[in-house]
Amino acid sequence: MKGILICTADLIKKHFKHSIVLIIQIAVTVMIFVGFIGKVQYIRSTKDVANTFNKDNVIYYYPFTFLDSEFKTEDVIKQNNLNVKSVGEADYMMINCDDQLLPIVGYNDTLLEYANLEIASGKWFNDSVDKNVIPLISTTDQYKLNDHITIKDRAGESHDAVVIGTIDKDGYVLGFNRSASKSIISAEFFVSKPYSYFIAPYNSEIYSSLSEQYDMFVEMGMPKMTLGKIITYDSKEDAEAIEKEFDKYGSVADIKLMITNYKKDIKFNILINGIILAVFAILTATGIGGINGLQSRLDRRNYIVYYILGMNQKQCALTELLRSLFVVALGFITAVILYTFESVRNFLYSSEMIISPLNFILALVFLLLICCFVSMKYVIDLGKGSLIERYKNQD
Amino acid sequence: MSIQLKNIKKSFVNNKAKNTVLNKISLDINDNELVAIMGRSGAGKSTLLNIIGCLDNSDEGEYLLDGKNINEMSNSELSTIRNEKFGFIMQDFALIEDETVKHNIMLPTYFSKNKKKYDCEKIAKTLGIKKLLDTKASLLSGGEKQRTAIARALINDPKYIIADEPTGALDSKNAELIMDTIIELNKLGKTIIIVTHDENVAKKCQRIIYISDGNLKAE
Repeated sequence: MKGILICTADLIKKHFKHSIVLIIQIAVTVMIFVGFIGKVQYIRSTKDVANTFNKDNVIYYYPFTFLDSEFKTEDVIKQNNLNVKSVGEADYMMINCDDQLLPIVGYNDTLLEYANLEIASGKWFNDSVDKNVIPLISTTDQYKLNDHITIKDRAGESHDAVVIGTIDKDGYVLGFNRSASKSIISAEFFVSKPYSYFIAPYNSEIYSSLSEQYDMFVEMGMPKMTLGKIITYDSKEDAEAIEKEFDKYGSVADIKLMITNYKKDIKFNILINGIILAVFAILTATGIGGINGLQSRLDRRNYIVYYILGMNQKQCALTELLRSLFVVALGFITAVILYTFESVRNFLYSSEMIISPLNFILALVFLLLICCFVSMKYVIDLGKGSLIERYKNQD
Repeated sequence: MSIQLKNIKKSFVNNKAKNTVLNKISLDINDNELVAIMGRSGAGKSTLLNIIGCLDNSDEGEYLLDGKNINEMSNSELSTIRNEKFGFIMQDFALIEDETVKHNIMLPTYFSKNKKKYDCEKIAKTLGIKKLLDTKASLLSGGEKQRTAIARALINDPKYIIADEPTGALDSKNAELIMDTIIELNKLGKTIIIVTHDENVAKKCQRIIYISDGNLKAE
């Protein structure tokens, strides 16, 4: 082993300048590769959220933001005698949690029935929940499963709340914070990154008293956030009537169509990103493999000398592998260090990418495969023909 | 007898044509012999030397080294034999040019399983290169490089020295010095096999083996 380590060190020293170039190339490759994987992860993740939605007989309605604050969906339904099964709403609230004013998104019963988000730990609301405490789903790292929180309502009365489930911090929720239109209809409009600390059910008395905190928020001069709604129906005729009437007050789209379109978008996105990723992977493998292979060729004379002096082919292979691994490891570490800089992250990655350790692991596996392939090919080549003759011919 | 070759046959395939380089060669070399192998280019001298030095295998025949059948040994065992029983001196010195003389001399010891102490400085002093131990091999003259290669061949105290055209790249003065060193080594008990084109080098050996078209012609 001593000989292998000494020879590896010799070869790294011999190609120091080459190695620096290779390390930079590998670091850049890792950063780009991580971004590509992040984009594919993002697309897959939003697809999962859209899939959790029960899409039968549901219309997505997003009110015009300029509507009077007195405008109520229920009034339109009553006035026009619309045959509506139920209305699912999300509400954005500012609530006093442990003496901090935190944003919470409330889902009403209909929404909770239709949405069943994938949670990282714990359970969703429709599973059995202790009625004496306010159940919350945490969407940040700040609050963990089973954390107890004291919520104060506007009257100053305290209520106990508990985190019954968590959503992965890179996960997605039904945000309902973008409008759909007839020309561009896709589930992307109601899937979003979590923009609150918690998701909570808000239909009970206590929640409505809590949501009054929102008035205080408005008093502070902050504009009310307009959120979309879902309207469920029984028949096609009902749907047509609902769409026709609500079209006057906002954008309306059939959720089934939105999800179908979204899945088409996702397939197209995955295909495009997959092609780019494959082309990039081939170019990278050729580039890194090429430079690494060039180094290996330049080292061939060294290996023949080592072989003559008592190294066997397995040890030659191991030395070559260690040399490659060292360069790959340094390149990878450089990429990880670069990633810790916020400016680098902001420059390379958008919010529509999920960057996790898995991305880095996949990038590393890809590099190791290139490394092993080049080393193996080199060792196979080394075993062909007479070494001494090749040494003499400086092949 | 320390080296016994019986009916050794070796062929290479070039452009789908089979070329027999060694054709049932039988050869015995005794301990402490100084043997020269001569022949024209392509006659099979280097192939024979490679087989003797365990750098290559024969296709047919039997090779006994100190009574042990080389053909039955694994790659790992062969590399140990190359490391411990053979010292190699090559025409172009086969040094690692970016490394120092000392590093080059010590190289075989890094692959050795023996834990014995190696006296690099003593060998370097004997060969007149002690002052050059920290010099890069690329900066040495031809004679100095070959003396470094000889030092490296001796560092593991091998029984056999394999020399492939050891004076081929040297001027006559340095060639003579190197041959004198090789003869001295032979006197110290080393069995030495030299491949050479040079009649003057061959004449200094105890025995000359001629090889032509893969066959031994005369001794």
